[in-house]
Amino acid sequence: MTAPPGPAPAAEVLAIVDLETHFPLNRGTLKAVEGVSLTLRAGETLCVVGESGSGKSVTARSILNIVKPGRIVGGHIWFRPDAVIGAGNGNGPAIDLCALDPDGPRLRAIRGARIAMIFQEPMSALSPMHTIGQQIIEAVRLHRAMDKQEARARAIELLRQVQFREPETAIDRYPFQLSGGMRQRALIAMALSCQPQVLIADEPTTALDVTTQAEILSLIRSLQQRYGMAVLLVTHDMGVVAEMADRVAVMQGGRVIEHGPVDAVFRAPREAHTRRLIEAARLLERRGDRAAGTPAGGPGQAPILSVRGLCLAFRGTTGFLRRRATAVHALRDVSFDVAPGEALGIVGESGSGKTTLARALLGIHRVDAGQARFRRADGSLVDLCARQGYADRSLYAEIRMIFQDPFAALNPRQTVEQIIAEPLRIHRLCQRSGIGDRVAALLRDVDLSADVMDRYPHAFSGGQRQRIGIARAMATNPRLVVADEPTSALDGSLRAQILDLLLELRNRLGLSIILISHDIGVVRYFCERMAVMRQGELVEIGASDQICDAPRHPYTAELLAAVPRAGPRHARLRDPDAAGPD
Amino acid sequence: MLTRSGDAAPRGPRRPTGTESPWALVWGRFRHHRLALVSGVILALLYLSAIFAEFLAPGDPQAYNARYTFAPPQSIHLLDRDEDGSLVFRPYVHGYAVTVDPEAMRRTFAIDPDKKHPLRLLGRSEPYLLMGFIPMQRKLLTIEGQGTPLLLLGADRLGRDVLSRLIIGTRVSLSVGLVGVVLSLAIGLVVGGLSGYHGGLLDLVVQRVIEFLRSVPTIPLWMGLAAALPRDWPPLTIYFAITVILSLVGWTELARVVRGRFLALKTEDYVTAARLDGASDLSLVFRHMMPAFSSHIIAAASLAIPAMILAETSLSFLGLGLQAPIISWGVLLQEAQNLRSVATAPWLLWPAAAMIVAVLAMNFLGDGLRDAADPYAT
Repeated sequence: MTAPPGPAPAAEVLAIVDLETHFPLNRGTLKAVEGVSLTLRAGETLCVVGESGSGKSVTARSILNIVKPGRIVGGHIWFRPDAVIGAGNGNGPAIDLCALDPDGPRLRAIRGARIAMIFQEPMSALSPMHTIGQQIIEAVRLHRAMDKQEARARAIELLRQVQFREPETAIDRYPFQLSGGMRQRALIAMALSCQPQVLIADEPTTALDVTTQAEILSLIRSLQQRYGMAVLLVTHDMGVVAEMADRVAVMQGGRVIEHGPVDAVFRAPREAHTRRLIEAARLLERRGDRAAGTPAGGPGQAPILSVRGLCLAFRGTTGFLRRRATAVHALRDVSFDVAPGEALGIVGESGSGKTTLARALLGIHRVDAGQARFRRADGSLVDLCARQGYADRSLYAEIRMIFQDPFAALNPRQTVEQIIAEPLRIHRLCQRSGIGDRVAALLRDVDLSADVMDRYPHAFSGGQRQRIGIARAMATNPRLVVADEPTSALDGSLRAQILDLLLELRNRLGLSIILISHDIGVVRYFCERMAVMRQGELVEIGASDQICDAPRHPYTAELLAAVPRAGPRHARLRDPDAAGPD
Repeated sequence: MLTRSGDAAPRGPRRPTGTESPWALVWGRFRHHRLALVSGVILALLYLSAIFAEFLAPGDPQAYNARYTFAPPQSIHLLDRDEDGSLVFRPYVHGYAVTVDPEAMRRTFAIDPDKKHPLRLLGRSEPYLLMGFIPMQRKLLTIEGQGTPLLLLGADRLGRDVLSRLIIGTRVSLSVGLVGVVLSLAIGLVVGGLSGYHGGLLDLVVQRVIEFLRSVPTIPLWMGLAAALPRDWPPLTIYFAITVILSLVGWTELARVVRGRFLALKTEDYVTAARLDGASDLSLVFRHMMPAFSSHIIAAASLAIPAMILAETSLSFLGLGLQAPIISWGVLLQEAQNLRSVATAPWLLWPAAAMIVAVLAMNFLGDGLRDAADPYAT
C-alpha cells in the first residue's frame, strides 16, 4: 500500500519536531541529531537516507529513546496511537515520547507493542541462548495475555507470515542455526507479534546478500500492506530507497537537508548531496571506464594465473558423545585463468566460497587438491597452493591482497607510515632514508595528503582507511592484486570512488586484479570478465557484459534481478496493482 | 559507529588529530578512573616508603627493650604551651608511667602527662645504611632524649617498635609480589605465547599441564615446597626461594591470558595483512601482536601482584615462609597469632591493615588499567 493519491492526507502517526540528540565525548559533545523534523503518516514508508555518521540511525533510535549513552536534549516526538489510514489527523491524544521516562513503564508499553524496531545485525539482536520460538513467544506474552499454547501457535503463525519454510520445526531452532536472512525474518516476526502501528527498520538488509535483501524488502512491503503499518526505513542505499519509499528524507551532518515524495526527489533533487548519493547508486548500473584496461597482449597471451581443479573442505566434528565428521565443501573443482592486465570478478552470495578462494590463493588456507600456477616476473611458474608455495617470501611482493574491513585490516597501534612502509622494509624495496618519500608518493597515488603519515588509523574514516589499505597493497608494485570485497563495508558514494581509484591504478600500473564481491553491480562496473560462484562451484564464467545481458545460468539471473536499481521507475518489488506514479 | 567517524574525533589546538600514540590514549582513559588514580598514588607512596624504609622508620626495627613490652601507641601533640602560657608549634610525645602489678607480674602503661619528649624533623640518629649501602645519620622523625622510646604504633612482645617494623616489612612484602610476578610473567609469556601462537598438539599439552597445576590446592603445595627448603639457608636465599615457589603456581593464570590474546589476535585481519606483507613469525609476534596486548598484560600482572603478596603473607603467617630475622608483614602478623596478645595489644594488627590497603589499591589500579587497556575497543 502506497500513500493514498487522493487529496485527503493520511493521519500522521508520528511527528518528530526539532529533535536534538547529543552524545557525550571525552571532550565536549557530539551533536548527532540537530533539529530534525519529520512526519510519518499511517501506512506509508518513509526512508531516511544518508551516509554513515549523518545521524539517521540515531534519529530512528531516538523515537524509542534507546540512544544511550546519548541523550535527547530537545524537541518532541508526537505519537498518535489511534491514527489510521485515510482518516484526517486522529482526534485522540498524542503522546510526546521524548517526555516519557526512557526506562519507565509507559514507554515500555509502547516499545514493541505499538512501535517495533528491527536492526541491522540480527545476530546481535537475538539472544543466542534461546530458540527463536522462545523469543517470539516472550515478545507475544509480554504485551498480550496469552497462555503458552496460544502464544506458541501465534509464533508459528508469525513465522509462516514471514515465509519461514516449515515454521513448526523452525520455531525450535537457535539463532546460530539460521542464515542471516532467516534471522532477520525471525526478528521481523518478533517485531510483528503485537501488530504495531509503526515499524522502524534500521538498515535491515545491509548485512545481507543482494538476493536475500530483495526477499526481505519485499516481505516488509507485503506485511506493511497486510497490517497497514507505517514503516520508517533507515538506509544508506539509494537503490533500497527507490524500491521502498513513498517519501524520502535525506540526512547529512545531523540535519534533514531534503525531503519529499520519492519521485520528486529522484527526478529533481534540490541538494548537491542528494544528487551525489543518487549518482553514486546509478554508477554501478553501468560499466566503468575500463576501456584502457584491456589486456595488454590480448587473450592470446599466456595467463599470469592459471587455477585448475581447486578443492577445499573445512572438516570438523560435531556431537558430544557420538562424534560425526562433518565437511563443508568451500571449493569444488574451481578452474579459471587470469590474463595479464585483466580484471576478473568473482560474484556470489556469502557462503559461496569466494573469500575462501582468495585466501587459498594467498596461502592462508591449504587446499585439498588442485593447483594455482602463477607466472612470476622472471617467467618461472610457481604453484601458489602447494605446501611450499610461499616459501620464497618475495612472492608476497608480487601478489597482494586488499581486505574487506578497513577497520580491522590496519594495525591500530602503528602510524600510517609504519603500516605502508612494512612491506617496503621487509622486501627491502627502497633505501631506509627513502621510505618516507616513497610512502608520501603512495599516499598521493590514493588521493590522500602526505602529511597524514604520522597519524594512527583511528583518525580516519572508513573510505580513507580503505585508501591506506590500497596504498599498502600497491607499495611493492605487485603484478596481481586480490581484492576481497574492497567496497562492501563502505557507503554507496564511497564505493564508486574506491572502485574508480582501483581502476585508475590498474590502468596505470598494468595490474591483474581478482575482485571478489557479492554485488554483481560492482563487478560489472569493474571487471572485463566475471565468474559466478555458488556453493563452492563456478557456475558461469565469461565476459561481464555478456553475462549481465544474457545470463545462462538461472542463479546468475536471480542475482541480477535482485539488485535494487536507483530509480523508482525500475522498482520491481512494488505490487503491479498498487498504481504507482508511473 | 559514530564515535569512530572522523567528525567525532576530538578537535583541539594541541596536536593534529590522530597523532596521539596508543599509550597516550590508554593514559587518557585511565585518567578518568578516579579510584584507580588514587590507588596509584597510594601505591607509589607505599613503594617509596619501601625504598626509603630506613630513613622513614623512627627506630631500629630489631632493637628490643623488655621495659616496654606491649607498650601502647603514643600520640603526637603538635602544639605546646610556652612558659608564658602562649601556644607554640613544638611537637612532642608524652612519656610512659609504668606500674607493675606485683601479683600478676603484669606491666600496665599509663601516659605520664608531666614527661614531654620533643620531636624533631630530620634529626640526628645512630648511623645506618640506607638501602644497605648509603651511609646516613639523619631520620625523618627523631625523639630528643637518650633512652626514651618513640612508639607511635606501640610495641610488641619484646618491646620493639611496631611502626619501624611495619615500614621495614613493606620492603619485603611488596617486593615479593613484584619479583614473583616478573618471574611468572616471564614463564607465562613464553609458555602461553608458544601455546597460543603455535597451537595444535603443543597447545593441548600445555593446557592440560596448566589445568593440572591449577587443580592442586595451593596452600598444601606451597607448604610442601616451603618445608623442603633447608633451614640453614641464609634469609636472602630463602626469600628468593619463596618468590620462585609462589611464581611456580602464579604463571598459569598469566599463561592463559597470553594464550587467549594470541588466539584472538592470530585471526585479526591486520595480522594476516602483515603476514601477507611477508613478515616473519618473530616480526609478527613482536611488532604486531605483542603491542596489541602489552597493556592487557600489564593489567593482568598488576592484578596478580596482590595474590602474590597475600600468598607470601599466608605462608609467613603459618611459619612456612619467611622467618625472623627477616621482617615482612606476614612475619609481623605471626605475633598476632596469639589471641591474648591481640587482646592486650590490638596494635599488632596494623600490618594486616597495611596489607588490606596495599591489596585493595593494587586491585583498583589493576581494574583501572584493564578498563583502559584497549583504547580501540568501542
